[in-house]
Amino acid sequence: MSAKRSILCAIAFAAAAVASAAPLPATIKIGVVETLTGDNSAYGISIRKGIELAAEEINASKLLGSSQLALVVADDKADKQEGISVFTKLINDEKVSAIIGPTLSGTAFAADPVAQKAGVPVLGTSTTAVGITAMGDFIFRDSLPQAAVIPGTLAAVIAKYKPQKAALLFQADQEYSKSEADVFKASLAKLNIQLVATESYSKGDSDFRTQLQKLFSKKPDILVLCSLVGEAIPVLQQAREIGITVPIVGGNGFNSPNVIKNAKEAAEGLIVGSSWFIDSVVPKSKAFVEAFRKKYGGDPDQFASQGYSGLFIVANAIKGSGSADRTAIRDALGKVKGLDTTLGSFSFDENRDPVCQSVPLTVKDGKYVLFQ
Amino acid sequence: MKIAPWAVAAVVVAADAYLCVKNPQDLDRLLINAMLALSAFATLHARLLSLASAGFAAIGAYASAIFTIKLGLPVYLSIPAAVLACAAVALVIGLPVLRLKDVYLAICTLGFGEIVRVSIILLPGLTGGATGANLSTGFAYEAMKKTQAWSLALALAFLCYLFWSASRSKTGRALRAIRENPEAAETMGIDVVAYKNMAFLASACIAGLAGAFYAHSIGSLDNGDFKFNRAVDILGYAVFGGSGQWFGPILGAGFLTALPILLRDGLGSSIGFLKDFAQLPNILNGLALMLVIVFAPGGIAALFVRRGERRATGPAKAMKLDALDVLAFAAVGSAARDSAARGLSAGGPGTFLSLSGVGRSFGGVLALSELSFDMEEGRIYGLIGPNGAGKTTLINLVSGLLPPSAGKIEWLGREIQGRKAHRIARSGIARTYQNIQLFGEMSVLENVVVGHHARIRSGLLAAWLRLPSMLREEAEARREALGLLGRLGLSGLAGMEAAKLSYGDQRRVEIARALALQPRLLLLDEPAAGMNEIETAALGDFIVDLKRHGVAILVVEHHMDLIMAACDEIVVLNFGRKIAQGSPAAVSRDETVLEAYLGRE
Repeated sequence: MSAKRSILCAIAFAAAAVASAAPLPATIKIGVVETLTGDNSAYGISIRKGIELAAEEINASKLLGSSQLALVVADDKADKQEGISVFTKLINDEKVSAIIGPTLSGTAFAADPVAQKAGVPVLGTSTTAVGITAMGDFIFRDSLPQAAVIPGTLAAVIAKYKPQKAALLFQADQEYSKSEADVFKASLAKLNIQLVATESYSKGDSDFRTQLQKLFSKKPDILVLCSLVGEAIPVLQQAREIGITVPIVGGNGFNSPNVIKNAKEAAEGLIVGSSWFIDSVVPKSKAFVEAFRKKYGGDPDQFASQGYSGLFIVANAIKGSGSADRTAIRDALGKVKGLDTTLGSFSFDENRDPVCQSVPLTVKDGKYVLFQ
Repeated sequence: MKIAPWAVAAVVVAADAYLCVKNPQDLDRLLINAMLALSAFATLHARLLSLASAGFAAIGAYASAIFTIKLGLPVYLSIPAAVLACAAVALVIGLPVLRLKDVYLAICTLGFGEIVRVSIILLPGLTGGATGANLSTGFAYEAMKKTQAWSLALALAFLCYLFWSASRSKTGRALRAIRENPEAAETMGIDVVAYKNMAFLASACIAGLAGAFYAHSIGSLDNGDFKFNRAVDILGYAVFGGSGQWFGPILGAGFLTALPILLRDGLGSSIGFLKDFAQLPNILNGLALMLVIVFAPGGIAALFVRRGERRATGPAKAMKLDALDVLAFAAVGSAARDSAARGLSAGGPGTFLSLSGVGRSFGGVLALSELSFDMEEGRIYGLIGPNGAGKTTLINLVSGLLPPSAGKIEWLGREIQGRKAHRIARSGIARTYQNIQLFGEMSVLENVVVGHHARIRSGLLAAWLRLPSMLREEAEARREALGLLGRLGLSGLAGMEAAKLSYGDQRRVEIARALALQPRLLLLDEPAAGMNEIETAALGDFIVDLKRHGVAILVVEHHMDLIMAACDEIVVLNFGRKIAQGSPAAVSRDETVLEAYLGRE
């Protein structure tokens, strides 16, 4: 009886030892949940490109030894139910070790709790709303929340232009734009800049001249615009068209090559803050832009960069923990400090939010350059 | 043709069963969509093209979330409370909005959805505004999740039962009648406006219920959850499944929800060529919807309803009396006498029906002017005159389909001009139409049973409880209706779809349907049109028989043989004016009448 038990014990120990010392499995599945169809698919598609490029590089460079990353891509259709559904599928059926995504904060609020409950680490690469990482200790993101970017940008603007009065335009029925506007308002108040006028528009609007005129009539020293990429272009063009020449500070939606490409000279002088821009001098970033252009034949945007870095962060966590176990990856992610990425030196803070550089940029000669 | 629908249903059920096992979230979604589809069905089935379901679902979702988060109500109270909130809103907006027809109603209800969405944004204190509300914190989210699917399935099954039992009652029949022909339904004593209001209210409550479940299924809400495209999706489920049968929208939602999920799970958007065709499921769904609309306009549920069954052989049968027919016929007459005895008429003999100075103009055209004449109980009046003389207008005025522009119509001692047609019908005036207005997709028998609407007392509650009294009343109405059909020589056609009948048979069904109201006055608008000589003569005998049983009749007809043989008195109209009135003999000798209408030999 006791001999039997000791044999069992020995087997159990041996098994445990084998498990802990086991090499990484031949393939490690990583779920990628992005918005690939519908109105917001531009973000999701861009992110997927960045992630797929990263996967190729990681597998080719044997970062994880003989182990290969296998991406399982799913479309959340920007729909909460679909988001929960594909999270469940990836976790239960595909047995992914970690999930990157989803694209939108709204979907994340619905789907992330599923992963949290199942103990699967999630890394958001574009979710910036307040409260995302507060959903649980398995939820991370590498996208800087607005609150981490905006004060720095405004400080740089103050240093150069010393504005007294500001006016602000945002989209009232859009979650991201609204919360970005709220952060701007709070930061302006903190920096003692008076907000003399606020105007808003709604989804589907295409003529913003009335709102812009109203703002302009209050004679602000700077104009703050919070729009998504789609509206950012006409807003910018119409602002210049009605003769607004004061410095324009844009939200995250204005940090896209598309804005420069389409708004052309109207984009000149625009000021944005970002964790990344295409001419970033960060070495990893230079290599990334080159590889991206080679593979896809176009310029990456911030979302592609964050997606690309996101998979590298996960891969390094897997390497660090030496395991494809979900909890082990979560623990290793928590320890990521000073990792060299396209976003510069990258760390997670104790709330699993990113700590990385945020740089003020301005558009000069059709390019984003450092704002000084 | 018979295998196809069951195959479709089997595939849908199997696919959905597979999903339920695979992924609890897909089950939630399926059940919620089915519920939303039922909500759209409730309005569509009542001929209301409403897109308000998404808006009500949003109200239900947010109300339930707010009750749970802010008031701390347990889920099983917050969901019914949210449904009540939707009911309240539906009552308020239903009043003005339901007057609108078709596309106007659609646009107006779309606007309602947008108002709901914007209100959500503008009430950040309550709803979280543009950033949304999050239920997963401070709320028994996990506990709810476990019972969610069960309670959802139970709620849906319960709704199905309510729809099923209602569809087999007076309510369901009235709604089918409204769906096919609201005007004819109204003149059968059905309060069309009340039923439409009820349907809208039901739709709002069901949408609210679905929304409330959605809120607890997802755990977070924002204003984008129920925007425009959801409203269209929901309508799509109902149209795809069919708005004729209550199970149609459930099949529709089942199919259209399952297809993209199956494509996703079966093929996987990450596999091979599909990776670059992420829109494929949407395209296939759109294609499926188009195919159904083009090839099966009644939706997939319509494929289950057998059409044109039991086509009677041989030509239309001559009318004959047999023992059963006499019985049923006697019932009509005695009911007319009963209603007289019940004292519905306060007035004395002389004020059965009295028109004084009645006029009606359409724009500037006077269709009728200064028309005055009285009718006495139990006599047959003929109304003749050239085309455009105003005969049908007169019938529309008396039956309440049109209000007169001038004058007074007194019926049983009360003025009825401007009264709703269904109230006039209930007070004992039934009619047929010059252009046949049957409920074409309903069976002949069901058409006649619609005539019993006012007399069947058991309402919706009795139908849901399936009370014996209700079942008895239904059986009784059927028996009587069959008797009436027999009386009109239509026994063999009872199970036929009314639209498939010959012209003459359809006219007789209309008469049977009107008689089912047990009228004291029957208005017949060209009843013999499309009948041959023998049939016309039989119709004349039938009318005279009706008179003997106490039914007064006003008959518009061009068959002068019928008029001369059957009528006690004839009124002649020309250009909207009465030019003569009197016995058939007197009228046929009248110079003005000969001039204007009968002509000289």
